Amino acid sequence: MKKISILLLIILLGCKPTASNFEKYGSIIGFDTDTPTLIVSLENCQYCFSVFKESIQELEGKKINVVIISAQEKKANLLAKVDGKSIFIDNKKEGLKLGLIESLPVLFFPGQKKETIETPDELVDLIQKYVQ
Amino acid sequence: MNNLNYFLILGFIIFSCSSKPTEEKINSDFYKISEINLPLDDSTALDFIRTSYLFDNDTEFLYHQNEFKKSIQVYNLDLETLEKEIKYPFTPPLGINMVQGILVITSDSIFIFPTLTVRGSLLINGSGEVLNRYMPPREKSIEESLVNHISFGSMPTLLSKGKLRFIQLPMFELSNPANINDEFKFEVSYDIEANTLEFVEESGFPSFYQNKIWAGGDLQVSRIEDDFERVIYSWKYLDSLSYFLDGQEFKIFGGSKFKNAEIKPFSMIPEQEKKGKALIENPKYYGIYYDPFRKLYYRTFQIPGIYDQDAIPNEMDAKKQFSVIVLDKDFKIIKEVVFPGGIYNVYRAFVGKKGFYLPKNNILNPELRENNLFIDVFDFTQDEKN
Repeated sequence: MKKISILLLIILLGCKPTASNFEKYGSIIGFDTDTPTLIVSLENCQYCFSVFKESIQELEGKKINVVIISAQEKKANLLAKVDGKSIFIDNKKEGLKLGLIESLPVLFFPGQKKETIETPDELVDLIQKYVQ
Repeated sequence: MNNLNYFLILGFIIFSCSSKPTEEKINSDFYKISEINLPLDDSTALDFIRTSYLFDNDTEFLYHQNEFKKSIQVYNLDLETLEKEIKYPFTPPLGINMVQGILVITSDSIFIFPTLTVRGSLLINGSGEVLNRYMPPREKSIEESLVNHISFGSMPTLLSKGKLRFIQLPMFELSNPANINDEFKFEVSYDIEANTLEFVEESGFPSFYQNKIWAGGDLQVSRIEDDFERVIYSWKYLDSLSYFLDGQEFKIFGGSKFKNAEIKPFSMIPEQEKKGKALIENPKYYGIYYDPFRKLYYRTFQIPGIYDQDAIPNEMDAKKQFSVIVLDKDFKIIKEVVFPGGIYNVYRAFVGKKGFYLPKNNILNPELRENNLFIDVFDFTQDEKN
């Protein structure tokens, strides 16, 4: 009986869902994964700064997290003022290591739906539809 | 067999199986003659992507387009100061919201090129006043009108005989070998007087590339114009440099002694990881530069790196060593100097009065400081002077 209980415990623990990479990322960077989250990498997207700068600044006041992957703090702050509340910096490039983003910005919605953003207009459309 | 014999034989096997001795590497520090330290303000990032060098009135300047400020910053390299900032019009339709590159001809003739098009390029003076706006005729479709020109780094836009020569990169599917043919031209020439655009016939894919599958990111060409009005092309995978005179192609060997393998195309469309591996591990040439002060050519060669599927691609790339192949005016290779990985940014190299300038804004440089751009200057004729 004792053996069966141990086996059951192992199975139960084994079946416990592991945190997704996005949830892991949330806990590393410190943002709430139940809020829509935009991840922008300035490390491997040369054009992201100039292309998305204006549309990212328009996100101010919306209920959305913005995570800027950049080893350079000054550069990240030129894109959007990092405040640790809704605008975060990932200077250790954890988002790239976890495979959450390749190059273009990505928007994560609660429930893990992920959209790759190709143009600023697309970002504005998605924000208008899904973000308060 | 006694132990001594056993170890002798083992030692013999180990030594004879080791790879061939590597070529002697010349230490780059030997050629370093100075360091420039440019202070950067709070609104200037360290990247320095869009730049243009000017030697004027016996003074060296580096012009830098600041995307955040929408200005062109003029750094005096001799005094290590920001001398002035030139505001340019950036509000469409007359201004340029997204700048692709700049070209400084004199302190009062600065070209600014918009992204993805030649239409709307500006010529401004040192006060930021627009002297000219270039509007070549539109093509029938938007796609045909697009010019995916680069205009920075080793693919700068040149002004030659009244024409602006742009290097463009293809926007079609590069993994389809049928697309790698002689139809696409990498150079587009804009005749300022005639207001016409034309493709440069000689700038198609060399036959070595054609009808094969390659890692797309490596399908680029660098080129410069020298004092003898020769436009010299350097392809990433070709050891030879080439130029055309009276329609005839001339090829010169300009290969690296550190190239340890020939590049082979893929036999089938590769998965993303295989492509990434090829981009890191393939030996390749990056840029060709002309030094008008010494009548020398410099060609940069990226020594193969080590691919790690868990690592970040641009960090693997930044770690790679590279060399500078120095050729004299007759294209004879004089020397090849190796530089360490993880310190210099080979993509931001430029030539100036004192020699070859290498910014130290490599993303892995442990001494990187966001408020200073350090640039090391190398004179490869240093040993000839002594």
